[in-house]
Amino acid sequence: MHDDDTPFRTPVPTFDRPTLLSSCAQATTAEEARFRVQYPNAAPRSSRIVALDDGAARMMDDIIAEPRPAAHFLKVAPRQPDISPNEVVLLRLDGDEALLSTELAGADVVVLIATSAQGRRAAEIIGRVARAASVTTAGLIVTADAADDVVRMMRPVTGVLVVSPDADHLAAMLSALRA
Amino acid sequence: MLTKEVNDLLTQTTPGTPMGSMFRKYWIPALLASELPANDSAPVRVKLLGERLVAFRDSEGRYGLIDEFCAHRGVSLWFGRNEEGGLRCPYHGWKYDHTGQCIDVPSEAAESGFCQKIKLTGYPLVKIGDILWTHMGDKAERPPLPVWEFCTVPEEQTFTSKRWQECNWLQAMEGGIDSSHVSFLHSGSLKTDPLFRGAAGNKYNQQDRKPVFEVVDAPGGLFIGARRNAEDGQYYWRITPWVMPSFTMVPPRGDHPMHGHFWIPIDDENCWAWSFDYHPTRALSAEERQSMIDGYGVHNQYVPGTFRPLQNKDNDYLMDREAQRRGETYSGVWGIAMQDASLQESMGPIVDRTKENLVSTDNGIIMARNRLRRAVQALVKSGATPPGIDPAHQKVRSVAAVLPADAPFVEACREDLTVRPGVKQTSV
Repeated sequence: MHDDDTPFRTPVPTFDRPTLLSSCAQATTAEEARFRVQYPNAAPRSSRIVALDDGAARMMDDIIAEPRPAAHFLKVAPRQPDISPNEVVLLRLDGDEALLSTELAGADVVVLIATSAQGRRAAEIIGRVARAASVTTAGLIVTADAADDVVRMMRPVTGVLVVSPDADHLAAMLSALRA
Repeated sequence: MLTKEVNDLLTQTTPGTPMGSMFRKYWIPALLASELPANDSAPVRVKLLGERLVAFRDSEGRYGLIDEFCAHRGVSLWFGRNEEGGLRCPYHGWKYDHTGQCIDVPSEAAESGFCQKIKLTGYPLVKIGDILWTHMGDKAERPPLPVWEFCTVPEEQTFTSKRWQECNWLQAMEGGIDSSHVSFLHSGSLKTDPLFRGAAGNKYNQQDRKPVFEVVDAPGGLFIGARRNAEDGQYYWRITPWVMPSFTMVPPRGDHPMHGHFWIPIDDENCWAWSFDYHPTRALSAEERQSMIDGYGVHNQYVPGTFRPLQNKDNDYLMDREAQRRGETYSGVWGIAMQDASLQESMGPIVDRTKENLVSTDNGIIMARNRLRRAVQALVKSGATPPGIDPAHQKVRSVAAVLPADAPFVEACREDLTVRPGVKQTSV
């Protein structure tokens, strides 16, 4: 016996349960599926997609044609003036600068994309600030090579991490998450 | 969320559909070998990928899996007489061999050669381990036989069961790669199930109910890692391999046997959940084998004489609200297998994925769907061989391990995630 053992009860078969309209036997049919209430059961999620390095920025460029009204696509700016230890300068698609603090306001999820460890400092700040603001973070590492360094960079700053050699996972992930 | 088009693409497997064509590239489990226990034993009706078939074992021990219906008048050959090297239709005596070739039409002169012109569709049926495997695709493209470890270890080391699950294969399979539900749905079973309890690693599950997930592409599919806090700043990792199209393994617990599943479409609204347990280096104990027969672990109890679970939608899965209140089960449904099946069937025969709201912890499912979509589209476009056919892709194991905080789990466990004959599984 182990200390986490507890008595176990096997089910006693009973066949005296009548099948009612609300029983699983009726409720799970294809016919009943059409009575599932049709309504938008989730408010749109506001996403920030941040390319941490040049390779990630190119990947992002490949998917921005698809309309994603609730997503802001951002790149880490090449020049980072020393504003604050909790701030990162980002670039919007039109080239305008935006501050991390501004972008995080109202964001539900931040997706960080990396192809190398080039964006280590920005990743650390974004992850830390997002966590403090209770904003969910997800990471996508796209590389065909060993990703040890990039994993070590991304793991502490993301709530879930995906590692793939294929760039098309980005679009799939964003669509699946309604980002 | 998936668009309706992609949901249809991934869930439809009948003949002529893209996913159906992909499934037909693989060797898939068709029957338990015990369903055809002896030469000339009773034929068995089999429905796979939307095709009605009949399986039999002829007088010489050759297995056949052929079109269920006689070419003459469409009678089911399940009523047939399995004797003297073939299956004879009881209506007018037409007889077929294990390949589906008609070998006797009593009403026609043997010299006429008429029966040579009659051929039912036939698929190979090969016994490997406890399972009869079939390949329902082009004979010219038949892949190497399967080499999954659970069916290639000595028979005393392995046990396989199957259950009818009344929903599409994809939503059943997605349960096998969705590690995040374990902390909730199966939380009661870690303490009580004889095939799970007592492992040192269980304490990490119980202490940290918010695992963090990492998903890593693999040549044959994915590795899905769930990490929890362990001692000294280390992480306890549970690593689930998914091999395309529908093989999943549960990470091991202590020295308990390892287990996993195949999810095989019967048609678009039903599937077979194949469940296996094996130990790489030792025989299963009598107690372990009996626990599997009794429906513990990933197995289940049956309506006698069938592969339908005893707990099924017609009896509301024997829902026990008192057990739920006592904390013995989280959902009120007994047993790990039926805890999963009951909820997956409640989603409807084919869940409408345009309505779902996935979150970032669902990335294993998201990635798997994307791999399937890409493989199907590549197959249709260029005939590309899908992942999972290469025997090297099948030589995987699940792993449970405590690793340093910064260790990439796939690299750190590269050998442990690979089948090593004679070497025990890596487990905590």
